[in-house]
Amino acid sequence: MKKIISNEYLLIVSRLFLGFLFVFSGIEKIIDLQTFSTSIANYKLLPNFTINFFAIILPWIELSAGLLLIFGICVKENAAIINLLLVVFIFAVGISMMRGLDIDCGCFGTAGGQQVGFQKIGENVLLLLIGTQLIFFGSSKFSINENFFSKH
Amino acid sequence: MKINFRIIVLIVVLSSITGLLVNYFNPKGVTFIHTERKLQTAEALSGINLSSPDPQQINLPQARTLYKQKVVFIDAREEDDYNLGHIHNAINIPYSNFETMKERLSNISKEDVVVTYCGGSDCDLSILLADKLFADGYKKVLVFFGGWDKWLTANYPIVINGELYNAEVE
Repeated sequence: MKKIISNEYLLIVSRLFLGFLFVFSGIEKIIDLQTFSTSIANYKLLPNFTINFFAIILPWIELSAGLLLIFGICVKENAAIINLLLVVFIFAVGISMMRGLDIDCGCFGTAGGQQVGFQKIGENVLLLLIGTQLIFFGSSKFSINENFFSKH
Repeated sequence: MKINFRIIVLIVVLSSITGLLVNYFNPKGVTFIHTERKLQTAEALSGINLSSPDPQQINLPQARTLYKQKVVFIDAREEDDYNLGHIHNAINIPYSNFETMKERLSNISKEDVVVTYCGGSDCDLSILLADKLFADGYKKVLVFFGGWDKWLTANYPIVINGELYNAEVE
């Protein structure tokens, strides 16, 4: 089992999939920050004065983590960032479901509205597993330089 | 599993700074403090402001009057929620499937008044759907802010699992 999960070609597929997904998700939000800020506000989880701060920085963290994953720079670290985000998303969606809010999840900005629900949590858990795989095994094949930072 | 936490902090900080800078210099950027979007309230139904650049918001009594005038109500929630219970005579156009579902609008003239609603005042689907309708050419779009919750507690005509309750006595 471990052999399959740590297969370097599977790791590349995971890396690119997660990378492109987060680049897409980041760009969609950056294009329409106003909508994304409204989406965050609808979750009613954050105090008003922090909403736009997170709306401004979150898409860029998604974008950079995604890009770095695609190029294979600091794969484990970026997978960890993405997993952290996913955990936050899962909690946010879960809490909203418990409170019975039927809101658009804001997951990919304005592209294809999806409501908060079990499906969303399921998808995020799946992505979380892919992220965990990358945290454990990294992915150095076809990467720009796996020791880009640690050598210096 | 060796993770360098300093790199994580570095990436997060650098991208946050980039985001803040880009937003600051972007003319279309958002303000640093979030301002809640407030829909204009339709004061009187006769005087729906047609030049309004935004959908307008209506309350329960106004929604009730429009319902009696057989105005089209659009449920913006998912099909499952709609089937579990919806305002009588409302059609269902889930916001998430607007593009594929909008053919259900084909026999509604763009000059007609339409009312969108969702779960209650805590949901945004009705406003999002109203925006899409607005962009699609419908200019008399009203958002019933109280939504399904208010309508249900007011014991107005509803359909639950295909059965009509609180039917109007004409």
